[in-house]
Amino acid sequence: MAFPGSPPQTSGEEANTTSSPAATTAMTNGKARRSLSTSGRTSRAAATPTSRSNPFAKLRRLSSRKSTTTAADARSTGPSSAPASSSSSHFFPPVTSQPAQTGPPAPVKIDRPFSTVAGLRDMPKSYERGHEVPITWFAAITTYFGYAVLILFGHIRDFFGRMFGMSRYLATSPPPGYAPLLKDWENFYTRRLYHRIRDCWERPVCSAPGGRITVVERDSPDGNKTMLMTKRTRECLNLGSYNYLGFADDWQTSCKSHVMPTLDNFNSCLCSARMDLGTSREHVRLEELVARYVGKEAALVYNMGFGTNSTTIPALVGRGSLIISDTMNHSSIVAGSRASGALVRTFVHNDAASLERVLRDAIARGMPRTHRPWRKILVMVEGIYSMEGEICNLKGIVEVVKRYGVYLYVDEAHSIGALGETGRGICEYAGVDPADVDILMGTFTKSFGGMGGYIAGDKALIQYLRRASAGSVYHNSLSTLVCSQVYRALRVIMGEDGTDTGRRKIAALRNNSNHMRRELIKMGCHVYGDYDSPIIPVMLYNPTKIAAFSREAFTRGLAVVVVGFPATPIVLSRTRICVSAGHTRKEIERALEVIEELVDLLRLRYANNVMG
Amino acid sequence: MAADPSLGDSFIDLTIALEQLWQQMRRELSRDGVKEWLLGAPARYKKWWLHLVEHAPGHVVVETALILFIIWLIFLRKTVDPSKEDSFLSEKEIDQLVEEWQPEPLVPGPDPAWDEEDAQALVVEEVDGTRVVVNGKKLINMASFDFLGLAGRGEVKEAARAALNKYGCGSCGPRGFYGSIDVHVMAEQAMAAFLGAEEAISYSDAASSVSSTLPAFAKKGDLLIADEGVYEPIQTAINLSRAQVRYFRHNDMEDLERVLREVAEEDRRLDRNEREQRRFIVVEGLYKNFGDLCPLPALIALKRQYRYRLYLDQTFSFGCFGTAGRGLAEHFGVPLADIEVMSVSISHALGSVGGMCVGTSEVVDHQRLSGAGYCYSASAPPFTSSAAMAALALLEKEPELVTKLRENAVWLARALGKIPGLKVRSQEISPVLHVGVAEAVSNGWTREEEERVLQAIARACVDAGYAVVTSKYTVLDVEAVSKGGLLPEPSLRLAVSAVHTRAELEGAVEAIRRGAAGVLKKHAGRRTGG
Ligand SMILES: Cc1ncc(COP(=O)(O)O)c(C=O)c1O
Repeated sequence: MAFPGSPPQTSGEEANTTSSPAATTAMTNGKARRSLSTSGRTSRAAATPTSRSNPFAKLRRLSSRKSTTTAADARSTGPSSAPASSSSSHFFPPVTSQPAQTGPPAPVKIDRPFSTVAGLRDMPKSYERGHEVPITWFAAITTYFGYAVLILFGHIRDFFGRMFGMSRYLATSPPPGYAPLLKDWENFYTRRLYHRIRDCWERPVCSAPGGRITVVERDSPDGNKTMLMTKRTRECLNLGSYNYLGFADDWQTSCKSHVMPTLDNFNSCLCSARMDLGTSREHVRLEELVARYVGKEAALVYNMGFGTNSTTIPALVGRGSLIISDTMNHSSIVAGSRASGALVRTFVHNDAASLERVLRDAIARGMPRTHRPWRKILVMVEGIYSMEGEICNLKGIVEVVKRYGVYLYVDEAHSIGALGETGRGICEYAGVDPADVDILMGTFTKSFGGMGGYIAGDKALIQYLRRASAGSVYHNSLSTLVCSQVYRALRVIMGEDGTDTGRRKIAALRNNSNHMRRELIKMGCHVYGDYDSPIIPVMLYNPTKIAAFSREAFTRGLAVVVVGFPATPIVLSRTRICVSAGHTRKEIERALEVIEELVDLLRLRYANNVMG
Repeated sequence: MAADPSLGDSFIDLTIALEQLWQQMRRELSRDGVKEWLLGAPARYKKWWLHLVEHAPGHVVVETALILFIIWLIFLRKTVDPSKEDSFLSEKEIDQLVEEWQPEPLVPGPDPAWDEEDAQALVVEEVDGTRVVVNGKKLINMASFDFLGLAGRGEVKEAARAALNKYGCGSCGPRGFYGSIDVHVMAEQAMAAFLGAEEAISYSDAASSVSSTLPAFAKKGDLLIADEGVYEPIQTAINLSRAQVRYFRHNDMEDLERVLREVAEEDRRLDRNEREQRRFIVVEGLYKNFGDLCPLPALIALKRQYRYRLYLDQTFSFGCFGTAGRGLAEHFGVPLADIEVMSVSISHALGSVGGMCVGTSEVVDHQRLSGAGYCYSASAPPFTSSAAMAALALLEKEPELVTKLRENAVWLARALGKIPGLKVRSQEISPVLHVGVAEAVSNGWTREEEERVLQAIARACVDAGYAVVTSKYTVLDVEAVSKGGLLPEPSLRLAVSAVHTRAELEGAVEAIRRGAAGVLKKHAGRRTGG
């Protein structure tokens, strides 16, 4: 797994930016002191670290497990993966302080009953793996109750609205002879649930989407049915954007001088498809660089990350083929799979053993009814799951995939640039040879501050896709300006701009994410996902807390994303914090202070107490 | 953003079921004498039973036996479940099956012809108005869909530059999550105002806009009546919606009426309530693959008569038709209200990147939660919206661009029509021109042959200084023909622009004339010779 142009191994200096488990305990005191000013409850919890619901004891177990996992992983990758092993020692509590264990790490047992009260799929299993903490019974009951009340009141309002003919939604009844444009429930959810808290989404930003943003405040004259921009703005710390490597922060210095000239030589787009007149030399050199970066022979770029998935998958598999998809896969993968006509089966989220079971079953049975053998089987996973913040267990999955001789498609939308010592994504991070992954897909909208997506693979694969995927033959090509933006960003990340900016960005991202995650876990929140992932979901559960969290954070100058149904299962509403390399440590600390305040206000310490 | 539809759906199903139950209970309870009837039930039953035993003991015996037999059939008989049978496979047998299974290669193997083709691909090195530098050679651009020449206008570039200076490049997030930049909202408002619609919603890619919009409204159980000539994004949309679909012959209103009548008859026969099904007629404004307009007035008359909604894709017609470029509705003078859902593009006539859907607030608002390409994808970089707004402002200020485009299109179509051996297949006013080989010449040719000839003509044009391309279809669409798929006839596809000068167009016609003459002669020689 030789990545061309890997920078030399980092010096030990950066190691002290992350704290070891020992330091974690030491920090407890400082933390407790700080939180005294904001809440008495926290300090009580912190002052009695041996109490039954002590979060830190668990945290220590969790982090020690994590570090040994990484150490074990790194060792098993063999000598060629030296960078990976060095990375683990930098960004994790030093391995030396932990006796390295062999064999699979023991599952983290958190003694909380009622793990299946919600009856949610996957819950107990993910719980075992320590990635996702199960919803507490109290949260589950109150969440269902909350939705029941919302739905009840929605119906009451509809009823009275109809009875008295007074409702802002009455105008939408269909003309005679037509079915309503929206089915009742589609529209009910939007009207009576979403519109109540609509102000928490689509807040317009009027600055670069960097670490700090200026958000335009909005008013609504009709109870959030329409939102109007006002002249008022608010400065916010941005924990919402996918600006992982901070190219939105230093765009003026890092990219501008390389992007602007493209505007002189080209228009902003070529208004033509790649196979017609939509290929410029910017596209060609970007594709070469992307291929070199991810360690594949060739690459193909598309105008849209979503479209990359939704037009590539149908070109690869069709009728008679089988797609085995992770249950948590992104909706673009779902769209592509549906459009392809292939049969889709799912396996338990991130579980290689489940994948193996599904595969054995599928191969043994063949196609339904006819029992003919499958033409192709394609396994689809993501590098980092965007709503869970979880990192793919790629090593395990690759093992299974190789054993059964099926094809593997990895969507690196969130992991490319953000994972691995040199930002080369999940393959580098997991110590997997990119040659073992048949199709590497990624997007430019996240770490690279651009737009669009790419597919990287063997030369024949790319040549075929150029001719077979709608995104290449029919749809307009990626903007030339964006090509040069991504090209420049990649050069910086690869250190080919002659500075170590890229390396510093990657390290800063890792340190910021791990610090943020550690502190949030320490607060006793239910935090999903893995260390090293820049996506940190904190569970809110109750529908009322979605809006409360977002609004309260906003008034305190913090822009956070809150997510509910339909992007998540209905009871698992969460706030999703995205950390960036553009955040300074001070900004992260400030954000944590605000979050701690909110956590107290909204009672989100579910790991300490079933009632939060 | 992994949506978990099953959970949400089951939740919603539950609420629907509960509501239905409640409705039914209410209906039942409101009937007269229900209570008395219920209270009297046991006594009535006992009476009936005694009566039965007394008068027909044989019946009682036989029927009891029957009931027992049915219970035995359902619950006690050991059935062999064929799907369970497989699980008798031992692990070893499964291993063997796994061992034996050989997947097809992921893609067809490397093809030396691809290398050759790729080496000849047109790579643009510079763009300046209608002039492009391709592979080191200066050409006149006859291929890009920059119909009004707005992409290269100073004002548009300035707007893009200013936006880049202010916002940087990417927006780094989906619209819902701090990826809404103020210019996105402003561009939507500008588009809605320009078209006179209530609202607009922007997508970051024109094709994804189309293939996300339709599935947001048409679901399983709904009905789509589509033109059989619709291009790929609409095909994908139809496919994704999982709705029932019926096709009518391309641009044939009589055939459309036939289909509509058939559906109406079926409704009557099956006593179906048309109000239970969302029904759309799905058409393109200007057909990309044919270069002809849909007959909007006739379509609207039919849609009103049979009570369908209309989905109109104006990706190619927006900016090119009507007195001020508002597209087909303006061109034909029909009210916008008759088009329920309409997609327009900002990647074509406006020379930027992205697509939009315009309509009533209800139509637009729904997509902000249900348009897959809107919710689950990062928004386009802010500069694309700024550029689009600048282009829209230019279009508003200079409606003569549209007239100029029309003149150019008509002139070019007529001039090309005079070339011997070729035939213009598109409509005269279409800015997308499809030029094929005349039937008299291509009689007896295979499709590949015709394609090869057209490609050779296109290449000759490139050599003569004009970037001309043939219409291309994906390998899959070509393969699908053998399974009954439809493919438009092969053609040279030219895109004319309002800023093409007459001299440039004359040159292009001359290049095509010469190219065609040379290639057709050579081909004829090879055919008779071979
Ligand atoms: C896993 C995954 N794939 C694809 C996409 C789509 O990429 P884009 O936003 O560039 O359209 C996303 C973005 O949210 C994603 O998370």
